[in-house]
Amino acid sequence: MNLLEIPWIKAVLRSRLYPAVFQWITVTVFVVLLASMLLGPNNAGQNFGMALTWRVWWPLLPLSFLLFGRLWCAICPFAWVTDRIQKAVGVRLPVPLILRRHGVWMIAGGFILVTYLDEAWQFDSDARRSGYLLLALLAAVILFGAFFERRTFCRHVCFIGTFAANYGRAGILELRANADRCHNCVAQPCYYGTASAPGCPVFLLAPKVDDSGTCQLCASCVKNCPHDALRISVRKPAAELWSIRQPQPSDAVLAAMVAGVVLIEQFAMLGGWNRLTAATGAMLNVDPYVSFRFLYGVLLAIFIAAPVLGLTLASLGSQALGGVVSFAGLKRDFSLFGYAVIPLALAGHLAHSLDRLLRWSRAVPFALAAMLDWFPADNGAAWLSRPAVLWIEVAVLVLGGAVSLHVAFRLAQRRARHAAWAAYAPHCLLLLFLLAANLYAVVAMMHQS
Amino acid sequence: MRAIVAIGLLLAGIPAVGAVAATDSSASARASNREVQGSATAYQLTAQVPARIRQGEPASLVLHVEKTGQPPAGDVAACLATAPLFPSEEDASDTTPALGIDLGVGAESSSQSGCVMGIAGVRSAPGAYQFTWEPDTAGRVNLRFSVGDSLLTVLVNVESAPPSPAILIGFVLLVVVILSAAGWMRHAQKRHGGST
Repeated sequence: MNLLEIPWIKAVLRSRLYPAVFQWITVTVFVVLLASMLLGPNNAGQNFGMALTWRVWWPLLPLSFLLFGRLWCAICPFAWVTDRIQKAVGVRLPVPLILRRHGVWMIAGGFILVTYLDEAWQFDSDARRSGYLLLALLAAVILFGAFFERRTFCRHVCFIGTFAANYGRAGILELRANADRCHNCVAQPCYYGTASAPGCPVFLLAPKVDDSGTCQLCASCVKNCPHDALRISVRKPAAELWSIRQPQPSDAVLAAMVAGVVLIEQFAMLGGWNRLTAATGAMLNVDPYVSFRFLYGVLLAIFIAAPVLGLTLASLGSQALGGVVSFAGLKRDFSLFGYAVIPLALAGHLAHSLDRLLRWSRAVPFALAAMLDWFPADNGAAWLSRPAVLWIEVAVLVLGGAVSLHVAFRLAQRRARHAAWAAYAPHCLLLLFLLAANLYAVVAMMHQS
Repeated sequence: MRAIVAIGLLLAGIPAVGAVAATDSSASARASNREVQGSATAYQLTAQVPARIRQGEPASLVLHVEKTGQPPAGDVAACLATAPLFPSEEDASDTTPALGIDLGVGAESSSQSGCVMGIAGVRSAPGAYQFTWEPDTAGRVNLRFSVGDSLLTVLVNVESAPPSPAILIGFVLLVVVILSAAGWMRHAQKRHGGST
């Protein structure tokens, strides 16, 4: 179903006000959030900026990628800042080759750093630190906006890209061009822009777009295309994952990495986490209390490395069961089956976020009221009870696990039509293990509460 | 007997000392005037605590331990600890060690192992005192001091520290430098473009 065939949607997307209106809203909210984080109460539950950021926006983000692709990136205040800075003083240098080739690892590094700061330095509990983090990101956005062309920061640096691209691929919206209509197009206005709108901010040439990992649905190409060649379609979730034309090892690493980060976030909430920290400290001969930040770094590295290693071993298993083991084959299987991890990683991410969203987002209206001096903030109660949320988490995880298993099977069929089960079995085991680990964390939490 | 114990606290913050609170050994006192005293089974505890604790700033607490008929010990023991932030109920049920301190489940009360120390010169003293934290959801924290079975609870408001001027100034300067450099480069680009 092509949404651009619906007149009012097409009119909205072709309007100059899209996505500007949404950007103005997010920029306004961002200014309030930043001021609140820097000047408001430090208590996360009483600070409007903190409550809205960590209890509403952050938990909703993965869901938004699933439902609307990377639309958030089009209306993100940082995108607006980039555009304005570029207009005012932008030098518009080409993206450095190192960023184009290896920017994905900068994105991954940023994601790991933010995860580490969040847990080991309590950035999501301390309004000031969250404010400083936003300032640091804003400085980076201004730097890249001032010197490099288009939205280099969004495309090659922003840490949210770690999961945004993969979740976008699993999402239900896709923008594609009708290659027949693009065939004779020489001007390529979708890339270079016209008087109506600038060229694609994330360096995409519409006819070449074959996955939804990068497109921000900003609709610049829709405005610019004189041939009406673009379509935005609703599709089956996760369908793109088994039809990726050029599987990338980096996508697989990012998917496995996110799965590991989700797991450590879940396990860190369990009682047994303290024993794990203490045992790691004993093993490394350091005091677990004094050196908690170091130990968390070690455990984070282990949790991130484990799914990546698991994916490597599963790919090796697939190769072995197929009777031929080669490095090229291993790399191909690793890249290919990495996409099967995405639905489970997304489900784990969503499940972990639900606790904040369905329970603690109740603090938002109270914190807002307190900020406006209407009445004191009261974040004393949650929307839903913990067991209720945990059951929802179980359902989300099971659904995500089932989709991952299905995707893996479709990928196995694609990889080896006549020996699909051999290719599938090791990855099936890996996915079941990851699902079990996630479910264990949730069930343990149930017993804990 | 009187021992004065100074506690240098690196909470995620604390400022000036100005209030005193004390209570008896078993009953906790919510000290609005910051000075409460009470008799202890064995010891009388009096605490000097800041009127407010600011996250991100150092604070000092002074605990007076007195026992009738005994001379003051005259020793001052300093204890440094990093206090957790107690942000909200969300974290009250989170058992993640916060800044190296396991807050435990529920009440998040825990001993600061780094602050258990002997009180020198206190004869027949229990040999150690400790304090614990117990946050509530209104941004306050119960400081519990104990010496043996003597207990003192002081409720302290936790307030927010202002943002670091160094970070804010650093950010502004950085942005100015970036924009100036970019502006200059663009100007140079245009001149270069115009001359060719």
